[in-house]
Amino acid sequence: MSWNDCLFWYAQEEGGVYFGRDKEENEGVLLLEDPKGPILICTKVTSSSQYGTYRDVCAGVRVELERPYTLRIKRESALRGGMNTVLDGLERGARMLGRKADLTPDYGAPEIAGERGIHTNEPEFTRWVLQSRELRALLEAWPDYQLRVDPMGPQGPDHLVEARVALERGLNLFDDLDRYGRSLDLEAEKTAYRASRFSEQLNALVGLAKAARDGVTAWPMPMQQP
Amino acid sequence: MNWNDSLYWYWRERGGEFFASGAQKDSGVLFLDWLKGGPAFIQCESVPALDGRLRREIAVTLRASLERSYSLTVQKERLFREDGGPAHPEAGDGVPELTAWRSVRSSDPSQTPYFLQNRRLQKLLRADPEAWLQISPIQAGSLEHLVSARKDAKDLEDEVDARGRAVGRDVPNQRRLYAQSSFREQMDDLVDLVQTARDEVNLWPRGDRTTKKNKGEGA
Repeated sequence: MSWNDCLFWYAQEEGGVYFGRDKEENEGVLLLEDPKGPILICTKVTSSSQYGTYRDVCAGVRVELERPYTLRIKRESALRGGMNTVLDGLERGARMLGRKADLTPDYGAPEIAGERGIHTNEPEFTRWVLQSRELRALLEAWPDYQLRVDPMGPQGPDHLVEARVALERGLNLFDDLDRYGRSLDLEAEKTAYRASRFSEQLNALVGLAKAARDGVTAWPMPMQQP
Repeated sequence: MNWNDSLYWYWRERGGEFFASGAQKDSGVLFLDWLKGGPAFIQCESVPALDGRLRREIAVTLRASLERSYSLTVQKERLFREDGGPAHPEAGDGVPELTAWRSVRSSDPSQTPYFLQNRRLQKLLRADPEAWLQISPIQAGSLEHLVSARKDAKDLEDEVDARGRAVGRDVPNQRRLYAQSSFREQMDDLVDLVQTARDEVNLWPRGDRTTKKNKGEGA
């Protein structure tokens, strides 16, 4: 079953304004209402070549912050993970020699930093953001999910907080064919949707975006060093 | 200027709900939620090209609720008329004049001429030969439809230096580039076109309720 079909059924259950076509597969968009501001669910092309097109599913919310802030929390590649192990070793060695070397900062969340790379332009503020228990619990429970915070434009306080996961690998798009390879009818499709993990996975993605939104707005940004 | 930057300045002028990251180029979307009859969804969509790669297309989309499932595509203007005539549109508001320049495909050929006879719609289509229209249900047999005005995304590249790095992304330069570009006018025209198409398709004679229990009624 395509992303559009799954999102259509999700919209039927959760509400919101759905934009998607039957004849398309991965372009569907859903705008959900939320007391703290609308939530956008969509896919974004991450790479495209003759071998195929890859997309992320994104749940985006907006926040206003005092100054430009960026945050990336993403599962590291195997190579990067190996490099981090080496850097950790160097760091331990430096500590034994009584020197301070913050080569792989964990921002006060070692259980997250151990699995993922954390990159930010405001390390002090990120320490506060990652104190959110809900945010940490969701990141731990869904290891493939990523988080991004970026300014929306060249000026102004608006930022986009985005939770992402690879469409092809991170979500279970349920099958819309029966065991004989025939398309399911509407009722059977609905039943298959309800039996699938799609809504649970998408709810977790939306939950992650909301938890990150609450995390970055829970504290004022620290004073900037002159 | 890339799509996200251009849409950012358009949002600052027109308002609405904007979702974009300054760190990305083409993924920004804007919901014009103040429009009469429901929000317009503006995006730069990646669609497959003939060579299998992706090309970018600007799409302005509205929702419409029809009495029966319907699909329509009015393609952009061809270089040559269907009859091999001259490559410049002539005056006249008839549907044959429109279809001489554009391919029209629909699921209900008996209703489609009523839709295309709208003079304002014809005028808007003639004013932008690159724009094209698409109406289709959100699910097979659904009564909920999407009405889109589309065109190829052009002139939406960053200026780059000799090393291929984006330059001139400072605020004053962006403001200047945005003001000099025709982005605002293009977007306003597409919004106008899609609203006209949606209003026209909503005016169709009602009464065929045979598909009322179809999927998508309450989406």
